[in-house]
Amino acid sequence: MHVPDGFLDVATSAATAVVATGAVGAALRGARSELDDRTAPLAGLVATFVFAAQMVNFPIAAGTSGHLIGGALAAVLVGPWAATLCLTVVLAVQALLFADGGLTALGTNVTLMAVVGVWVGYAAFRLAAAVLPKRREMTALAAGIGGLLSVPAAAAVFALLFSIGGAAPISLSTLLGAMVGVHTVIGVGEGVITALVVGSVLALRPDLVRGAPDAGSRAPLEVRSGSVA
Amino acid sequence: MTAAPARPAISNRLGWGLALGVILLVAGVLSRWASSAPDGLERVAEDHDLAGHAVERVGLLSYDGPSALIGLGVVLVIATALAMVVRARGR
Repeated sequence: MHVPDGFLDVATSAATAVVATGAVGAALRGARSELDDRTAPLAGLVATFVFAAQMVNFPIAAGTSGHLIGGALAAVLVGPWAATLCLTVVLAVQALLFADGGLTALGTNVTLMAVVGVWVGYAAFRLAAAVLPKRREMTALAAGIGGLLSVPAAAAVFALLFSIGGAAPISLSTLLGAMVGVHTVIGVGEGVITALVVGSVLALRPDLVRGAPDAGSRAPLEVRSGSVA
Repeated sequence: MTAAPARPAISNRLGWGLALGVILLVAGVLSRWASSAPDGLERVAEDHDLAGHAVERVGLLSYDGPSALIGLGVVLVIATALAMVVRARGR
């Protein structure tokens, strides 16, 4: 869902650039508590994996494809602040070197994927993880649910932005329906990939997964085993 | 209810090798079968004429072939360096 140049007007693009800049500034501070000697290198790997995975479009219907956004995945693995930074690096490299996503739309794309994608994905993950049993498979499932919901959420925000400053006249409800519809299907792919990757990392290196059920000592807000009967 | 302790099943070195292997596999092999159909946003933009005066840009690099590897390297270096700087500030 990389928005190209010219989709949104200057004012809307400027507004999303301000939001994106503020979010990245906050993430630079917030990520301090998430990244330690062991997880900082993981953040580099997570960003690189997301970049690689975003190159692989999977077909979802006749003449339509989708690809991983990776916001929920990154948030579960390295924490949401660090995930915002990871996705921002990916989006900046894509826009600057690969002309994937517009330059004037970089703030929009960071807002949609590095902010909405990451934080909606993370919030949905935390909610699902709080409800589900505290087991690794359930953590992977919760991550998948986060991934699934993050994509239509970003699509919905795009529709809102386009209704404010879009280059073409279209009713919000029409665009919202179209965007959320197709991106819910893409979200299923996002959810499956997210669950598979989180499950694999949990099996091999659970100590590196910030959202792991037993990451309590490193994540103060994580669910406490024992206090929930 | 208590989860098993977070004990690593593989070493750092094997983990790095495995991660880089998976990344190269995704970028180098899986990408050959990537769908070239328009993505969700492009599909909606086509169906509903959203493009306005959108202009196609040509990138310095392309995802096809070895220049994708440059992209991977650039992301790895920048994201790792950024994470290291943020971590250093946090101490």
